[in-house]
Amino acid sequence: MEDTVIIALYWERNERAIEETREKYGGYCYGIALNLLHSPEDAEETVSDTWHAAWNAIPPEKPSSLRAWLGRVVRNLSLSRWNREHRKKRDPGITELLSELEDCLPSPVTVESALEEKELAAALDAWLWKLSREDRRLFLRRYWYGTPLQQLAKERGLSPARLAQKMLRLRRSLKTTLEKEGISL
Amino acid sequence: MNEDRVLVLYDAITAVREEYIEEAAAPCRKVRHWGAWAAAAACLFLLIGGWSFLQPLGFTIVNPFFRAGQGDGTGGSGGQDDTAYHYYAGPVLPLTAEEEGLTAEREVEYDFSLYDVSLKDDGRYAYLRSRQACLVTDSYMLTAGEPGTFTLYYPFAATLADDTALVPTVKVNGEVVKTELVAGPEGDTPFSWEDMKALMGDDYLNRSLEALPRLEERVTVYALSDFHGRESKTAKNPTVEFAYTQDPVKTAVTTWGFNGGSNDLQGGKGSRHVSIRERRGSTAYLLVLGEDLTDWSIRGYADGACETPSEGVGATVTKYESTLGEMLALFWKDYRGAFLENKLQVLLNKNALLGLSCGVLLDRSSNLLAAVRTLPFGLEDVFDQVLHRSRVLYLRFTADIPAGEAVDIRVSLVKYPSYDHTGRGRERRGFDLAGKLGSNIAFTRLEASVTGTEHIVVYRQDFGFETENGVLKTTRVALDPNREHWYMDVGAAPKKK
Repeated sequence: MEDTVIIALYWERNERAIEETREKYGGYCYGIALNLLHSPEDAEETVSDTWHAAWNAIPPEKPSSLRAWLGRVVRNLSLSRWNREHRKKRDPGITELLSELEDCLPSPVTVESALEEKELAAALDAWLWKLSREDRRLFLRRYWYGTPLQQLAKERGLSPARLAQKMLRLRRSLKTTLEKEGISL
Repeated sequence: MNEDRVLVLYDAITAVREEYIEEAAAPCRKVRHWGAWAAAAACLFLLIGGWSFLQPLGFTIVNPFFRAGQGDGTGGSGGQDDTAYHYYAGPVLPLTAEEEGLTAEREVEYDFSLYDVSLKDDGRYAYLRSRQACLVTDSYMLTAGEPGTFTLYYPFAATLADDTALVPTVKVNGEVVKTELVAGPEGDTPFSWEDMKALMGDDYLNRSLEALPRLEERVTVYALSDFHGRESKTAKNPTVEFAYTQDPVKTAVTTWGFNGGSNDLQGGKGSRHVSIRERRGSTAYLLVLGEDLTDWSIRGYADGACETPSEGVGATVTKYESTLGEMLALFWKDYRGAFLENKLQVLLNKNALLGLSCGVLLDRSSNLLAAVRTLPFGLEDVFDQVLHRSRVLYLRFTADIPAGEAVDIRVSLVKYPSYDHTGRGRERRGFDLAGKLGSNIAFTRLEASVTGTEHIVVYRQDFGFETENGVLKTTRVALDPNREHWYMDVGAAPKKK
């Protein structure tokens, strides 16, 4: 079923909307949640929460890309669950991703500057745009979709060590960009 | 872990634009590609006569592959095939030809005389010495199975924003020849030999020679000119705002010459503004692809944030129809003036630059509206990419090879070293050599030599030179012509007391 039709079902408050969403995007959402949480039970619960969130948010929201919108919801819900239950346990998944993303943190700036969400988003957007398509996909498949490094290495035909090196270079590049933009997190 | 800070970044990544999320949904590819359009790049016709690297003071040369901050921070482990540098200069690449059936004996000389610490830093060599450049001579005795006129290509790694001094000089039988410049497809920044191989991939030269796209897509142009508005105590940064409403599906908007703005892609409302004192040119352009704007207005403000209206600030709006290709050509003309005269792009055929720009857009998406929507700021981003992305350039020239005779081809070029800017290897300078990459010439003999050896120490090398405590004891070696790569890491020799 086309996304526009599914969204129309939400707007009509027709509960078929959830069934259709589950059928079309269930696997996709589960995959993201599982990558982030590393727990099938938690992933299933997160996906279930996602359907509720979609029902509550649409309307008034009208996503132009339902897949991307659902993915964001899954990421946010996964993070919330991780915060509640797994933070202290240092489980893999989000813990690993956050640990890697620490390499992207700019050094603290000496000039006082309040973080503007827009500035960070704009800087990140511009940095992603300047990457080659394959590097951009690599970065987002790792840090948006949570794809494990081993799987990414296989996709790219690289050894895990080479891939890790490449990912480190990308993270360092982002860090430099954020520092140049004077962004303080 | 700085969890709170990282989580802010996590959230920002969550919110990246949908096109990128969709793009990354499919698994990454093993084989690199150079664009959705038929295979990259420009024919850039440049006639060069003469030895160009001995330039007077004042030129600046940009590293072809340098991206500040990129690197694994683990230090200079040298040029082994599976290691990387923070900045990889690329190898000396071999000559190739359009025609098949050529054989050659090849000699490559690395001259480290610029590492002589006693040299005065005069205008001629100061910059090259500061970059610890090496002067390379890549020589060939070329023979052909059948006599004739052959089209030859000498490759070198660069970006289009690099200085013209990086362009090699070619001599055929002792005479300097005129060459034409051909730009290859852009690719991922290489950090190692392996990355370099991936950048060139298969058939790089043929892909460099393929025709470029042109964009005949109709656009509606809103040109803002005759800006007026003075700075004063009450108007510290007079700014003109062009606000508009568009159909978010059927319309895409991009700009040239604006300073900033906002665009609500979903809601369909946007604005662009020009700070009168900071504007780049006399005219700013807003281009509309697809259906025209449903509404627009222009307003003057006293400040760059567009918060305090000002009646005395404004511009004239002229609306007309054109094509995206025509507008890009106009913008290139505007853009070129912003650069110094000694940059490669200044010498390029304008149609070639235009073709590359079209290719950048089509590489983003074959749907131009979608491609334009991915531009963060405006068409200036396209031009930045054309100029600064890594690629291999070729010098094209011809040579007559008579029956039974060999032709002497001698190429002189400046090579910057590869290096790490932090870490344990940061004192080392890497120079490497490609034996066969991208060449269709059969090499029957290959030798490497080093001069100026008293000015360097050798940390690591796999050429096969004999060394003792970093000092070269032999300065010439025969290499296996079938091997693909060699490297050496050197440093400046300590000053003798």
